[in-house]
Amino acid sequence: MSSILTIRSLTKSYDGGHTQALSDVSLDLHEGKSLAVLGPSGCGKSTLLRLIAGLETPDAGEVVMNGETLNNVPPHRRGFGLMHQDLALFPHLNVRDNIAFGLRSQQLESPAIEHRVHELLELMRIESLADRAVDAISGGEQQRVALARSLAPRPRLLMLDEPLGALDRRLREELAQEIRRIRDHEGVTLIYVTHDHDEAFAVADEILVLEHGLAVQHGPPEEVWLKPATPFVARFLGHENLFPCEISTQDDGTTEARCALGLWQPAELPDMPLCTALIPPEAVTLAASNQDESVAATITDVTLQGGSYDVILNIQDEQLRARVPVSASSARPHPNTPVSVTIDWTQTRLLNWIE
Amino acid sequence: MTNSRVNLWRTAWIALPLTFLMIAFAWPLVSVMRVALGWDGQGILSPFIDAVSDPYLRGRFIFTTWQAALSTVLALAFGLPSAYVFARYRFRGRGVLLAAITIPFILPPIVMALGLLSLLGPSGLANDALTGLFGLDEAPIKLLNTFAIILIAHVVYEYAIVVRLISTFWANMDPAVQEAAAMLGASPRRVFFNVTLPLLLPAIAAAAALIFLFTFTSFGIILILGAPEHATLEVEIYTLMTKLFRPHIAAALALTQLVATFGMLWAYVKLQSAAVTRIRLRAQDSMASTGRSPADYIMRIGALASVLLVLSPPLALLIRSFITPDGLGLDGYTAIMSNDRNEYFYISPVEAMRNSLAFAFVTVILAVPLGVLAAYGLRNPRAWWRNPLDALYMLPLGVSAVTLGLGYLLSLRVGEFDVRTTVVPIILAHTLIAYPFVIRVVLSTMRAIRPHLREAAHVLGASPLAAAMRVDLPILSRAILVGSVFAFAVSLGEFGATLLLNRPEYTTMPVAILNYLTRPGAINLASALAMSTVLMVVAGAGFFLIERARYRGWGEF
Repeated sequence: MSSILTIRSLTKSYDGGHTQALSDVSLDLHEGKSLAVLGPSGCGKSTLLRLIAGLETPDAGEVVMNGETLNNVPPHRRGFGLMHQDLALFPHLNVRDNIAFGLRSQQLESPAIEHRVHELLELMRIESLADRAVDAISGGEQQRVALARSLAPRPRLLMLDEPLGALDRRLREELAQEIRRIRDHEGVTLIYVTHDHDEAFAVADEILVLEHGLAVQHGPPEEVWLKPATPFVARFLGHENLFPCEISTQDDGTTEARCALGLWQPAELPDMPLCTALIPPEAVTLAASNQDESVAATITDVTLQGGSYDVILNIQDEQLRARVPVSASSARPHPNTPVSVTIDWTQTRLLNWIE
Repeated sequence: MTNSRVNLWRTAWIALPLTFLMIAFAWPLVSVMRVALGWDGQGILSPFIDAVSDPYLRGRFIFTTWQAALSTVLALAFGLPSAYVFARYRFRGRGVLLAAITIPFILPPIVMALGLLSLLGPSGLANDALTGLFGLDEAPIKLLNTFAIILIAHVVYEYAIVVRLISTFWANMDPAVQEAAAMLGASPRRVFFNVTLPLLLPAIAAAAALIFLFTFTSFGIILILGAPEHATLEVEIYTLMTKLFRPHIAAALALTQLVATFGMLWAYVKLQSAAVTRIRLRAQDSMASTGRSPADYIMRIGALASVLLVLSPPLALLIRSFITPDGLGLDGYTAIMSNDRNEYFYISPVEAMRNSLAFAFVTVILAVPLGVLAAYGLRNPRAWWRNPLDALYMLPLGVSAVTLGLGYLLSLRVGEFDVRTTVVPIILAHTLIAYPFVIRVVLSTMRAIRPHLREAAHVLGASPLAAAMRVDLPILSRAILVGSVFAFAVSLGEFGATLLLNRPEYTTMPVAILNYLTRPGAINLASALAMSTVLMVVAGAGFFLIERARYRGWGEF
């Protein structure tokens, strides 16, 4: 499998160089793969899409598709699809004509257009909406129309800019699943821009994390989740139990890791002796009485999130988060009560950076 | 404050404007209708039958429609390229130019007519220059009293509507929609014809409806620049009333015209809101271009040339007013500053100016409180009666000035009590035409005041009245100032109704200008030009004030 899209050192600034939107971003994307571009608002992810689409001109760098440099190719000749964050449906056309728009640009025969439109209406399960005005359908339905419209001309590359941004949670999950199904059905190469890491993990084969226009991490979702490359990535993914950590070799030849909350023998060693320990909140358990290897702590805050309590603990002035499943048998932990905390060090990851 | 007093207030700010509308608007219009339909004993529909069976009057109707349609098409053709330039390019002086092109639109039609006279008339600047340059014996440009000069006047006059209305929509159009089309493989040409133009169409149609409405009721321009065969319905109604004394036929024509103008006004409102909902508006500048290709420069130079063209008549008026047979001079100004009553006029020019100012002040004093009260009644956007009431308040804008004057002549009398020969109808007419502007200006600011502010004042112990005085009024003061300037300018320039209702002793500046023009002699022309220039400067100064006080959130027109 060869890469169909190559981006080399894309750089873009606005306001005459005052705002650096994207600095030196490079990547390769293989045919049929999905890339999620992840980052907070203003990190340059939309700029990256617009540069690939040709809607903006890069200050430096190039976009290469199947070996052809696209820098001088206008957007309408690139054969890419882009679904805007706010959908940008044509308000003067109905659902059917919106979907057919790109096919008409290709000057297909009208039976071919009709066939493809029908196929997409079916694929998106919106056959009944074909003749409705686009402002007379619900937000989720508009999303489907926009997706169908960008898929219709069979783009070589489909880009989705925060496609589920404005929807409620249930609809988002439903549509994310839909996008996966359609991606597999159409076999389309996909770039998916989002600020929501759950969404990114749900659709992507690989993830690119942007911070202030810089690519800070690029890899498979599991790797990004388990080994965030920078403190920014770690915090952006919601990791909060991060502790400076020191690796030392004992007299008996074993290696020991030590952080403020304890010491243990790590299974896997980092590249450097000073690193950061990431303790998953699920690795932290609470008990009422003292046990072996447990530490005394005070509960400072408890919130119920999803199916478990998010418990914030204070251990010797360090803050630690624990995730405690809700169960009928145990009571809700109370703030300001002393507890005893056990950490499962085998789940702890050592990251190759210090803050 | 008790509930009943609150209710009293609430009733007052709807009841007062409504009462005014009943007296100054509904009663005259119903009177016109009654006379037009022959319900005053003439025999049902007999005035209409008389009007329709008269081939001359049928011709007037056809001409009125034809010249309005042609003016509309020409104004659109002339204005659309400029609208594009103002929408899509950002260049130095853009704001100033955009304000400048509005100057012709805000000038009283009679001033515009004199501007064209100064530019293209027999002794206008263009002819002077050409005869001087080529040593000609007679003026080469013979446009006065032709159809062409009427069309030119209308195009120059309505250019601002095309540019401002359409460029606003164009500039604020969400660029994502055009980008989406490009991403779907549409060439720039296809994007324009299949996306941009269809989205702009309601805005273009709205501008067309407004221009048709204005040119359909054209009066001052026709009266001064046209020949008798160019009489519109508006001019014909005036002639029927003042020269032929046939109020029934006049009323029949007025009613015909009313149906047409209300139809256009309705179409404008519908299309305007269709344009707003169709084009998802974005912050301006989102698709600004600073293009530097030759085509970009040609576009910009073309727009600049158009702007200069529409500004040339007022400029010509200004220059021409200082030219005397013996070179530069102030003859006209000296003449209008004199307090003499010459043989033609019942009152002196200074008195005409004094009358105009007096009417304008009274109009401000009446129209501003009425407008503010009416806007207060409309400020709750959720009330079911808000939209119908708003539309009702705006209706006077759809009635031509001469029709209004006719309406007053046919009503405003109860038994022995007759106010038709006093200043009352003139004041009513000016106030009625001015107060919708006050509503528009005040309402848009009022909507911007968040209800929380008023609630905060209430919670802090202010009574509703105190809250209105201490919170709303200071915030609204600028809008009220702008509304006052609008009312002042509208009254100053009002021509049609004033002319029909005129008595010699109430002569205003526009009426005096017409009087000068109907008399022969260089000094009369000089006086007309001088007085028009004064009127233009006052209107221009008012407009300048409005532009200065204008701020974000104001709709166009």
